[in-house]
Amino acid sequence: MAATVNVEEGNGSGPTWTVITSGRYCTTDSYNPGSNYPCVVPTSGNNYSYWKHHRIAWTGVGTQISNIRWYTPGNVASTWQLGTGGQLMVGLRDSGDHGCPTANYQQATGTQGTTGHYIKDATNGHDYYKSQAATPGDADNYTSASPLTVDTTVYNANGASKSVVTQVKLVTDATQGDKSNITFTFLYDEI
Amino acid sequence: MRTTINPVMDEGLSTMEAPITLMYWALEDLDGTTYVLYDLATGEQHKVPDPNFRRWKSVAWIPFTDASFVDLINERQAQLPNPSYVDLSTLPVLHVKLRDDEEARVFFRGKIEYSDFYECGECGTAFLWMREDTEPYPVCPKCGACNTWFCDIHGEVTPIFLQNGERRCPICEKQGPPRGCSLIRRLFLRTAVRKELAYCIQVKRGDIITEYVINKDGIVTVNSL
Ligand SMILES: [Zn+2]
Ligand SMILES: [Zn+2]
Repeated sequence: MAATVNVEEGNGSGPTWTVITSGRYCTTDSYNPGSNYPCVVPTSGNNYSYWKHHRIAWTGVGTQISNIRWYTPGNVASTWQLGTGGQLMVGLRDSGDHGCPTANYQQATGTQGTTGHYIKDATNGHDYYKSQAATPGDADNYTSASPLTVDTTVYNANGASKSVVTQVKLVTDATQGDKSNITFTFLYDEI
Repeated sequence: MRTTINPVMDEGLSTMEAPITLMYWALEDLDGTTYVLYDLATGEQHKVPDPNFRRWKSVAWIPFTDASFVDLINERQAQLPNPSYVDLSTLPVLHVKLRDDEEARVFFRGKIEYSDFYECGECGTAFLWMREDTEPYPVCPKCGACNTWFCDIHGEVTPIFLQNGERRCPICEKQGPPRGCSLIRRLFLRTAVRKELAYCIQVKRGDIITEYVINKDGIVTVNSL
Protein backbone atom coordinates (compact mmCIF):
# COMPACT_ATOMS: atom_id res chain seq x y z
CA MET A 1 0.00 0.00 0.00
CA ALA A 2 2.63 2.47 -1.08
CA ALA A 3 1.75 5.93 -2.35
CA THR A 4 2.90 7.09 -5.77
CA VAL A 5 5.51 9.73 -5.01
CA ASN A 6 7.32 11.87 -7.58
CA VAL A 7 9.94 14.59 -7.54
CA GLU A 8 8.68 17.87 -9.00
CA GLU A 9 10.38 21.10 -10.05
CA GLY A 10 8.61 24.46 -9.82
CA ASN A 11 9.05 27.07 -12.54
CA GLY A 12 7.46 30.29 -13.71
CA SER A 13 5.48 32.83 -11.72
CA GLY A 14 2.49 30.49 -11.26
CA PRO A 15 4.36 28.32 -10.45
CA THR A 16 3.99 25.28 -12.68
CA TRP A 17 5.09 22.05 -11.01
CA THR A 18 6.50 19.46 -13.41
CA VAL A 19 7.64 15.92 -12.67
CA ILE A 20 11.40 16.12 -13.00
CA THR A 21 12.82 15.22 -16.41
CA SER A 22 16.07 17.16 -16.45
CA GLY A 23 17.25 18.83 -13.27
CA ARG A 24 20.18 20.58 -14.95
CA TYR A 25 21.21 23.80 -13.22
CA CYS A 26 21.29 26.62 -15.75
CA THR A 27 20.97 30.38 -16.14
CA THR A 28 17.30 30.57 -16.99
CA ASP A 29 14.07 29.55 -15.24
CA SER A 30 13.37 26.24 -16.98
CA TYR A 31 12.88 22.66 -15.91
CA ASN A 32 14.29 21.39 -19.19
CA PRO A 33 16.79 23.91 -20.63
CA GLY A 34 18.41 21.41 -23.00
CA SER A 35 21.89 22.67 -23.78
CA ASN A 36 20.83 26.31 -23.60
CA TYR A 37 21.75 28.81 -20.88
CA PRO A 38 24.64 26.86 -19.31
CA CYS A 39 26.18 28.05 -16.07
CA VAL A 40 29.02 30.45 -16.78
CA VAL A 41 32.39 30.49 -15.01
CA PRO A 42 33.01 34.09 -13.86
CA THR A 43 36.12 36.06 -14.75
CA SER A 44 35.97 37.60 -11.26
CA GLY A 45 33.76 37.16 -8.21
CA ASN A 46 31.00 34.54 -8.25
CA ASN A 47 28.40 33.44 -10.72
CA TYR A 48 25.27 31.48 -9.80
CA SER A 49 22.79 29.27 -11.52
CA TYR A 50 19.15 30.30 -11.28
CA TRP A 51 17.81 28.70 -8.09
CA LYS A 52 15.58 25.64 -8.28
CA HIS A 53 12.64 24.46 -6.17
CA HIS A 54 12.38 20.67 -5.86
CA ARG A 55 9.70 18.91 -3.82
CA ILE A 56 7.95 15.56 -3.63
CA ALA A 57 4.26 15.17 -4.52
CA TRP A 58 2.13 12.12 -3.88
CA THR A 59 -1.17 10.41 -4.59
CA GLY A 60 -2.66 7.28 -3.05
CA VAL A 61 -1.53 8.04 0.49
CA GLY A 62 -2.68 5.39 3.00
CA THR A 63 -2.85 7.19 6.34
CA GLN A 64 -0.01 9.69 6.33
CA ILE A 65 3.29 10.87 4.84
CA SER A 66 5.85 12.60 7.08
CA ASN A 67 9.54 13.15 7.90
CA ILE A 68 10.61 14.43 4.48
CA ARG A 69 14.35 14.79 4.06
CA TRP A 70 16.89 15.31 1.25
CA TYR A 71 20.54 14.54 0.70
CA THR A 72 23.41 14.53 -1.79
CA PRO A 73 26.37 12.16 -2.29
CA GLY A 74 28.53 14.76 -0.47
CA ASN A 75 30.91 15.37 -3.39
CA VAL A 76 28.93 17.66 -5.68
CA ALA A 77 31.40 20.55 -5.62
CA SER A 78 34.39 18.40 -6.58
CA THR A 79 32.49 16.24 -9.08
CA TRP A 80 31.13 19.27 -10.89
CA GLN A 81 34.49 21.11 -10.54
CA LEU A 82 32.84 24.27 -9.25
CA GLY A 83 36.17 25.79 -8.20
CA THR A 84 37.68 26.84 -4.86
CA GLY A 85 34.72 27.73 -2.67
CA GLY A 86 32.24 26.87 -5.42
CA GLN A 87 29.39 24.65 -4.25
CA LEU A 88 25.82 23.57 -4.66
CA MET A 89 24.06 25.82 -2.14
CA VAL A 90 20.83 25.05 -0.33
CA GLY A 91 18.49 27.60 1.28
CA LEU A 92 18.48 27.34 5.10
CA ARG A 93 16.19 28.76 7.77
CA ASP A 94 17.36 29.78 11.24
CA SER A 95 15.00 27.23 12.84
CA GLY A 96 12.39 24.66 11.92
CA ASP A 97 12.07 23.04 8.53
CA HIS A 98 14.50 24.21 5.85
CA GLY A 99 12.06 23.51 3.02
CA CYS A 100 10.21 26.42 1.42
CA PRO A 101 6.39 26.17 1.70
CA THR A 102 4.65 26.15 -1.66
CA ALA A 103 2.93 29.45 -0.72
CA ASN A 104 6.40 31.03 -0.38
CA TYR A 105 7.65 29.82 -3.76
CA GLN A 106 9.54 32.55 -5.57
CA GLN A 107 10.44 32.45 -9.25
CA ALA A 108 14.18 32.38 -9.99
CA THR A 109 15.58 35.54 -11.56
CA GLY A 110 18.93 36.90 -12.68
CA THR A 111 20.72 37.86 -15.86
CA GLN A 112 19.63 35.17 -18.28
CA GLY A 113 22.58 33.35 -19.81
CA THR A 114 25.07 34.72 -17.29
CA THR A 115 24.10 34.38 -13.62
CA GLY A 116 21.16 33.90 -11.31
CA HIS A 117 20.56 36.06 -8.27
CA TYR A 118 22.11 34.74 -5.06
CA ILE A 119 19.46 33.21 -2.77
CA LYS A 120 20.73 35.47 0.02
CA ASP A 121 21.04 38.64 -2.08
CA ALA A 122 19.62 41.44 0.06
CA THR A 123 17.61 42.91 -2.82
CA ASN A 124 16.96 40.18 -5.35
CA GLY A 125 17.35 37.09 -3.17
CA HIS A 126 14.69 34.57 -2.18
CA ASP A 127 12.25 36.21 0.26
CA TYR A 128 11.90 33.06 2.35
CA TYR A 129 15.67 32.84 2.98
CA LYS A 130 17.35 36.21 2.37
CA SER A 131 16.41 37.77 5.72
CA GLN A 132 17.54 34.77 7.77
CA ALA A 133 20.72 34.95 9.84
CA ALA A 134 21.66 31.60 8.32
CA THR A 135 23.51 31.70 5.03
CA PRO A 136 22.75 29.10 2.35
CA GLY A 137 24.44 25.82 3.24
CA ASP A 138 26.83 23.66 1.28
CA ALA A 139 24.67 20.79 -0.03
CA ASP A 140 27.71 18.51 0.36
CA ASN A 141 27.17 18.70 4.13
CA TYR A 142 23.83 16.90 3.74
CA THR A 143 24.45 13.20 3.13
CA SER A 144 22.63 9.96 3.89
CA ALA A 145 24.15 10.06 7.39
CA SER A 146 22.87 13.60 8.04
CA PRO A 147 20.12 14.56 5.61
CA LEU A 148 18.54 18.02 5.34
CA THR A 149 15.21 18.36 7.19
CA VAL A 150 12.90 19.55 4.44
CA ASP A 151 9.45 19.14 5.98
CA THR A 152 8.26 17.73 9.32
CA THR A 153 4.56 18.23 8.55
CA VAL A 154 2.37 15.11 8.91
CA TYR A 155 0.28 14.97 5.71
CA ASN A 156 -2.98 12.97 5.75
CA ALA A 157 -4.09 13.54 2.16
CA ASN A 158 -2.75 13.74 -1.36
CA GLY A 159 -0.47 16.73 -1.77
CA ALA A 160 3.11 17.94 -1.92
CA SER A 161 5.93 18.79 0.47
CA LYS A 162 7.86 21.98 1.05
CA SER A 163 10.67 22.52 -1.48
CA VAL A 164 14.42 22.23 -1.29
CA VAL A 165 15.80 25.45 -2.82
CA THR A 166 19.24 25.03 -4.37
CA GLN A 167 21.58 26.84 -6.73
CA VAL A 168 25.08 26.30 -8.05
CA LYS A 169 27.79 28.81 -7.11
CA LEU A 170 30.73 28.98 -9.52
CA VAL A 171 34.02 30.77 -8.87
CA THR A 172 36.80 31.79 -11.25
CA ASP A 173 38.70 28.48 -11.18
CA ALA A 174 35.61 26.36 -11.91
CA THR A 175 35.68 24.20 -15.05
CA GLN A 176 33.39 25.11 -17.95
CA GLY A 177 31.79 22.28 -19.87
CA ASP A 178 29.73 19.10 -19.54
CA LYS A 179 28.98 18.01 -15.99
CA SER A 180 29.39 14.53 -14.52
CA ASN A 181 26.21 12.71 -13.49
CA ILE A 182 25.11 12.99 -9.85
CA THR A 183 22.29 11.44 -7.78
CA PHE A 184 20.13 13.34 -5.28
CA THR A 185 17.75 11.63 -2.85
CA PHE A 186 14.49 12.39 -1.04
CA LEU A 187 13.42 10.28 1.97
CA TYR A 188 9.94 10.12 3.51
CA ASP A 189 8.04 7.99 6.00
CA GLU A 190 4.68 6.57 5.00
CA ILE A 191 1.98 4.44 6.57
CA MET B 1 34.33 6.76 -16.98
CA ARG B 2 31.22 5.56 -18.81
CA THR B 3 28.74 3.06 -17.49
CA THR B 4 25.83 1.94 -19.62
CA ILE B 5 22.62 1.93 -17.63
CA ASN B 6 18.99 1.08 -17.97
CA PRO B 7 17.43 4.56 -17.83
CA VAL B 8 14.44 3.34 -15.89
CA MET B 9 16.66 2.05 -13.19
CA ASP B 10 15.89 -1.01 -11.08
CA GLU B 11 12.83 -3.21 -11.03
CA GLY B 12 11.38 -1.96 -14.31
CA LEU B 13 9.61 0.97 -12.69
CA SER B 14 8.48 3.93 -14.66
CA THR B 15 8.88 7.18 -12.81
CA MET B 16 5.16 7.69 -12.37
CA GLU B 17 4.43 4.46 -10.51
CA ALA B 18 4.51 3.47 -6.86
CA PRO B 19 7.47 1.37 -5.73
CA ILE B 20 6.99 -2.38 -5.39
CA THR B 21 6.09 -3.53 -1.88
CA LEU B 22 7.96 -6.65 -0.71
CA MET B 23 6.70 -6.90 2.89
CA TYR B 24 3.49 -6.26 4.84
CA TRP B 25 2.99 -5.31 8.46
CA ALA B 26 1.24 -7.53 11.02
CA LEU B 27 0.32 -6.20 14.46
CA GLU B 28 -0.69 -8.29 17.46
CA ASP B 29 -2.83 -6.40 19.96
CA LEU B 30 -2.68 -6.92 23.72
CA ASP B 31 -5.93 -8.96 23.60
CA GLY B 32 -4.57 -11.20 20.84
CA THR B 33 -6.39 -9.54 17.93
CA THR B 34 -4.17 -9.34 14.86
CA TYR B 35 -4.17 -6.65 12.17
CA VAL B 36 -2.56 -7.22 8.80
CA LEU B 37 -1.93 -4.77 5.92
CA TYR B 38 -3.67 -7.04 3.40
CA ASP B 39 -6.69 -9.23 4.11
CA LEU B 40 -5.37 -12.78 3.83
CA ALA B 41 -8.62 -14.03 2.24
CA THR B 42 -9.53 -11.17 -0.11
CA GLY B 43 -6.28 -9.22 -0.67
CA GLU B 44 -8.05 -6.01 0.34
CA GLN B 45 -5.72 -3.45 1.91
CA HIS B 46 -6.30 -2.12 5.43
CA LYS B 47 -5.21 1.12 7.04
CA VAL B 48 -2.92 0.83 10.04
CA PRO B 49 -5.04 0.92 13.25
CA ASP B 50 -2.81 3.66 14.70
CA PRO B 51 0.05 5.50 12.93
CA ASN B 52 1.44 6.67 16.28
CA PHE B 53 3.22 4.94 19.15
CA ARG B 54 0.98 2.63 21.17
CA ARG B 55 1.22 -0.62 23.06
CA TRP B 56 1.18 -3.89 21.14
CA LYS B 57 2.02 -7.48 22.11
CA SER B 58 4.21 -7.68 19.01
CA VAL B 59 4.77 -5.98 15.66
CA ALA B 60 6.24 -7.46 12.49
CA TRP B 61 7.11 -6.98 8.83
CA ILE B 62 6.51 -10.20 6.89
CA PRO B 63 7.79 -10.94 3.33
CA PHE B 64 5.42 -12.09 0.60
CA THR B 65 6.23 -15.79 0.10
CA ASP B 66 2.87 -17.05 -1.21
CA ALA B 67 2.37 -16.50 -4.95
CA SER B 68 -1.42 -16.82 -4.78
CA PHE B 69 -1.57 -14.14 -2.04
CA VAL B 70 0.56 -11.83 -4.23
CA ASP B 71 -1.74 -12.44 -7.22
CA LEU B 72 -4.83 -11.80 -5.09
CA ILE B 73 -3.48 -8.46 -3.88
CA ASN B 74 -2.26 -7.36 -7.32
CA GLU B 75 -5.60 -8.20 -8.96
CA ARG B 76 -7.32 -5.93 -6.46
CA GLN B 77 -4.70 -3.20 -6.86
CA ALA B 78 -5.17 -3.20 -10.63
CA GLN B 79 -8.73 -1.92 -10.05
CA LEU B 80 -7.54 1.11 -8.05
CA PRO B 81 -6.74 4.59 -9.41
CA ASN B 82 -3.28 4.53 -7.76
CA PRO B 83 -2.30 0.85 -7.83
CA SER B 84 0.54 -0.23 -5.58
CA TYR B 85 1.81 -3.67 -6.50
CA VAL B 86 3.49 -6.28 -4.32
CA ASP B 87 5.95 -9.03 -5.17
CA LEU B 88 7.41 -12.23 -3.75
CA SER B 89 10.59 -11.83 -1.76
CA THR B 90 13.12 -13.79 0.25
CA LEU B 91 13.58 -11.07 2.87
CA PRO B 92 13.66 -12.26 6.49
CA VAL B 93 10.77 -11.63 8.88
CA LEU B 94 11.35 -8.64 11.15
CA HIS B 95 9.45 -9.40 14.38
CA VAL B 96 9.65 -7.44 17.65
CA LYS B 97 7.93 -8.64 20.85
CA LEU B 98 7.25 -5.70 23.12
CA ARG B 99 7.71 -5.43 26.85
CA ASP B 100 5.03 -3.93 29.08
CA ASP B 101 6.85 -0.59 29.16
CA GLU B 102 7.34 -0.34 25.41
CA GLU B 103 5.26 1.21 22.62
CA ALA B 104 5.79 0.73 18.91
CA ARG B 105 4.77 1.87 15.45
CA VAL B 106 5.39 0.54 11.96
CA PHE B 107 5.84 2.46 8.72
CA PHE B 108 7.44 2.40 5.28
CA ARG B 109 10.45 4.56 4.56
CA GLY B 110 10.37 5.70 0.94
CA LYS B 111 13.47 6.70 -0.96
CA ILE B 112 13.42 8.50 -4.32
CA GLU B 113 16.73 8.97 -6.06
CA TYR B 114 16.87 11.24 -9.08
CA SER B 115 19.95 11.48 -11.19
CA ASP B 116 20.84 12.75 -14.59
CA PHE B 117 22.39 10.59 -17.27
CA TYR B 118 23.34 11.00 -20.92
CA GLU B 119 21.28 9.58 -23.74
CA CYS B 120 22.83 9.18 -27.18
CA GLY B 121 20.71 10.86 -29.86
CA GLU B 122 22.31 8.63 -32.52
CA CYS B 123 21.80 5.14 -31.08
CA GLY B 124 19.66 5.63 -27.95
CA THR B 125 22.21 4.22 -25.49
CA ALA B 126 21.85 5.59 -21.94
CA PHE B 127 25.01 6.00 -19.92
CA LEU B 128 26.53 7.64 -16.89
CA TRP B 129 29.65 9.70 -17.34
CA MET B 130 32.24 10.94 -14.86
CA ARG B 131 34.72 13.58 -15.97
CA GLU B 132 38.30 12.30 -15.98
CA ASP B 133 41.49 13.71 -17.42
CA THR B 134 41.54 10.95 -20.02
CA GLU B 135 37.99 11.70 -21.09
CA PRO B 136 37.14 15.36 -20.50
CA TYR B 137 33.83 15.20 -22.33
CA PRO B 138 31.09 12.54 -22.65
CA VAL B 139 31.29 9.99 -25.48
CA CYS B 140 28.66 7.35 -26.27
CA PRO B 141 30.11 3.98 -25.17
CA LYS B 142 28.28 2.18 -27.97
CA CYS B 143 28.63 4.29 -31.13
CA GLY B 144 31.25 6.86 -30.10
CA ALA B 145 29.02 9.89 -30.70
CA CYS B 146 29.90 13.05 -28.81
CA ASN B 147 28.83 16.65 -28.75
CA THR B 148 30.79 18.58 -31.34
CA TRP B 149 31.41 22.21 -32.23
CA PHE B 150 30.94 23.74 -35.63
CA CYS B 151 32.41 26.83 -37.26
CA ASP B 152 30.43 28.29 -40.17
CA ILE B 153 33.67 28.58 -42.15
CA HIS B 154 35.78 25.64 -40.94
CA GLY B 155 33.20 22.99 -40.06
CA GLU B 156 33.80 20.71 -37.06
CA VAL B 157 36.47 22.11 -34.74
CA THR B 158 37.68 21.74 -31.17
CA PRO B 159 36.82 25.17 -29.80
CA ILE B 160 38.71 27.46 -27.47
CA PHE B 161 36.67 27.67 -24.25
CA LEU B 162 36.66 31.19 -22.85
CA GLN B 163 35.98 31.86 -19.18
CA ASN B 164 32.78 33.74 -20.01
CA GLY B 165 31.35 30.61 -21.64
CA GLU B 166 32.08 31.72 -25.20
CA ARG B 167 33.43 29.05 -27.59
CA ARG B 168 35.60 30.32 -30.43
CA CYS B 169 36.88 28.65 -33.56
CA PRO B 170 40.66 28.10 -33.11
CA ILE B 171 41.36 28.55 -36.82
CA CYS B 172 39.46 31.83 -37.16
CA GLU B 173 41.16 33.01 -33.96
CA LYS B 174 44.59 32.66 -35.65
CA GLN B 175 43.64 33.94 -39.09
CA GLY B 176 41.47 36.96 -38.47
CA PRO B 177 38.42 38.20 -36.62
CA PRO B 178 37.32 35.82 -33.85
CA ARG B 179 34.25 33.74 -34.60
CA GLY B 180 32.02 31.77 -32.24
CA CYS B 181 31.19 28.07 -32.67
CA SER B 182 27.80 26.45 -32.39
CA LEU B 183 27.21 23.22 -30.51
CA ILE B 184 25.93 20.16 -32.33
CA ARG B 185 24.40 18.19 -29.52
CA ARG B 186 24.28 14.43 -29.98
CA LEU B 187 24.18 13.52 -26.30
CA PHE B 188 21.24 14.69 -24.21
CA LEU B 189 20.90 14.96 -20.45
CA ARG B 190 17.93 13.06 -19.04
CA THR B 191 16.79 12.34 -15.51
CA ALA B 192 16.24 8.83 -14.16
CA VAL B 193 14.24 8.21 -11.00
CA ARG B 194 14.69 5.17 -8.76
CA LYS B 195 12.16 4.42 -6.04
CA GLU B 196 12.41 1.91 -3.25
CA LEU B 197 10.85 1.13 0.10
CA ALA B 198 12.38 0.11 3.41
CA TYR B 199 10.31 -1.38 6.23
CA CYS B 200 10.59 0.24 9.66
CA ILE B 201 9.67 -0.49 13.26
CA GLN B 202 10.24 2.07 15.99
CA VAL B 203 10.11 0.97 19.62
CA LYS B 204 9.78 3.60 22.32
CA ARG B 205 10.77 2.99 25.93
CA GLY B 206 10.75 6.10 28.08
CA ASP B 207 12.63 8.73 26.11
CA ILE B 208 14.56 6.22 24.03
CA ILE B 209 13.40 5.28 20.55
CA THR B 210 15.04 2.33 18.83
CA GLU B 211 14.54 2.09 15.07
CA TYR B 212 14.78 -1.16 13.12
CA VAL B 213 14.89 -0.82 9.34
CA ILE B 214 15.05 -3.61 6.78
CA ASN B 215 15.75 -2.53 3.21
CA LYS B 216 14.91 -4.24 -0.09
CA ASP B 217 18.26 -6.04 -0.04
CA GLY B 218 17.55 -7.54 3.39
CA ILE B 219 20.04 -5.36 5.24
CA VAL B 220 18.77 -4.59 8.74
CA THR B 221 19.98 -1.47 10.52
CA VAL B 222 19.27 -0.59 14.14
CA ASN B 223 19.54 2.98 15.38
CA SER B 224 18.86 4.78 18.64
CA LEU B 225 17.10 8.10 18.07
ZN1 LIG C 1 25.46 6.13 -29.44
ZN1 LIG D 1 36.50 28.99 -38.10
